Amino acid sequence: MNHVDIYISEIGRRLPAKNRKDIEAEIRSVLQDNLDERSKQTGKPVDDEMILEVLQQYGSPEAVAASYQGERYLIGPRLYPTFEKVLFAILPVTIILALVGLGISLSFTHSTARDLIALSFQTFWSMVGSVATTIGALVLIFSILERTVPDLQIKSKEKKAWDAHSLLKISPPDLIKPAGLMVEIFFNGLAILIFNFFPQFVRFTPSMNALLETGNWQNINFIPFLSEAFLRLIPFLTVVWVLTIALDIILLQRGHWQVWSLWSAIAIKTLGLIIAVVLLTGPSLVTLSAEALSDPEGMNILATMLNLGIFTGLGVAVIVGSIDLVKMILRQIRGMASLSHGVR
Amino acid sequence: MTDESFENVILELRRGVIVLAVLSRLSEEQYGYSLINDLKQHGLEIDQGTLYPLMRRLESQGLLQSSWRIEADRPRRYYQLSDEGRLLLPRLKEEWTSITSTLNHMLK
Repeated sequence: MNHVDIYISEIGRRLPAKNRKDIEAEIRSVLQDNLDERSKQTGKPVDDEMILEVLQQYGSPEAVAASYQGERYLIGPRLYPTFEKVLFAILPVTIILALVGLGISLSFTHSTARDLIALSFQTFWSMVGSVATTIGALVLIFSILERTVPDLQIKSKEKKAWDAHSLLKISPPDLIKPAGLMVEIFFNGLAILIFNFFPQFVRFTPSMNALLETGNWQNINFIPFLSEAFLRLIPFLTVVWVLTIALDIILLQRGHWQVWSLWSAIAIKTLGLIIAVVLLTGPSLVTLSAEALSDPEGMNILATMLNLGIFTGLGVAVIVGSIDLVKMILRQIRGMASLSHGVR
Repeated sequence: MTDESFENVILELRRGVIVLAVLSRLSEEQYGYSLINDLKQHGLEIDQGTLYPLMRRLESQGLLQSSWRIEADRPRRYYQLSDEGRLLLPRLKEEWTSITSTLNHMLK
């Protein structure tokens, strides 16, 4: 095997099998032309030294092979926008599921603060692992698609017919809605006031007959019904309510969302969701003493209905809150992407 | 601008020009080495590592066609404009004239 054979073999093993033989034959022909030309110019016969000079001039096998293959991607420009969309849709869900898992674990843990910290670290690393696995799996799937489905027509947004009038349907994304914020401030303030300073008002009466008969509120039998488990979480809920009010006030002053305020809202919402999950999975939120009323059976039914109502309410709040959180995170990520491209 | 940036811009400029230059010289069939010499004689030096992959790409785009032929006891691959390439070349020349005219005007 001479130098040319070795050289061509080195190029060939870096080429796809499909065109390998053809390209090898062409390079061999070109090299022969080069050697003939050089031999004619120098008046010398082709020897090893001349071959090595020609090969040196032609380039390294790696460079020559690369020039036949063009730019290569793990995930090419055709599929990358879709990959990015899927990734940014799935990652927040992965993170939220991990946080919900943390909430559930915390609610079942009745251990020391040290155990809770250890559990939090464990959950954090588990979340990092989940994120890495998600990214890895998506890259694998899309890189397989890139190679096995070459004619897949995934039209990017840019290629679709676009009507400038569609812009009119979009509200400016960074503007706040003052009415909604004010309602939020009112109800959060009310919750702080009632649950922290007047918890005795959170009571229940199975019958308003006493009021109808006597016309006097004093005669109605109100029974406190919130459980100890719920009351223990009130300081944490208060933190969420206070932070929400503070952020809403700042937003009202500024009039629009900013990067830091959106991240703050995401953090507060996440904290609220964790508490909601702890409430959902923890001990009963309602305690009604059956003996407190003359109709113990009816009281039991009411207690069950109250528990079910609160459970359903919290469940809906967690689902809606999670969707809202994913939307906020996606919006923030898109905003950051737009900023990085200077088109926000 | 650094030398590297300058080289990159020149490379970008030449990349587009080379396609037109190659197509313009392949109305008659030529093998790669003769085409390189032909272009060189006209003042355009192209690296062999650039030319051969380019011709294969133009062939895969349907602008060139090629055939192997035994000549002087060894095979050579001859390239020539395809029918599609022949239709496209006059339009590319027009476009080139328009671009150079505009740029000459802008760069005065």
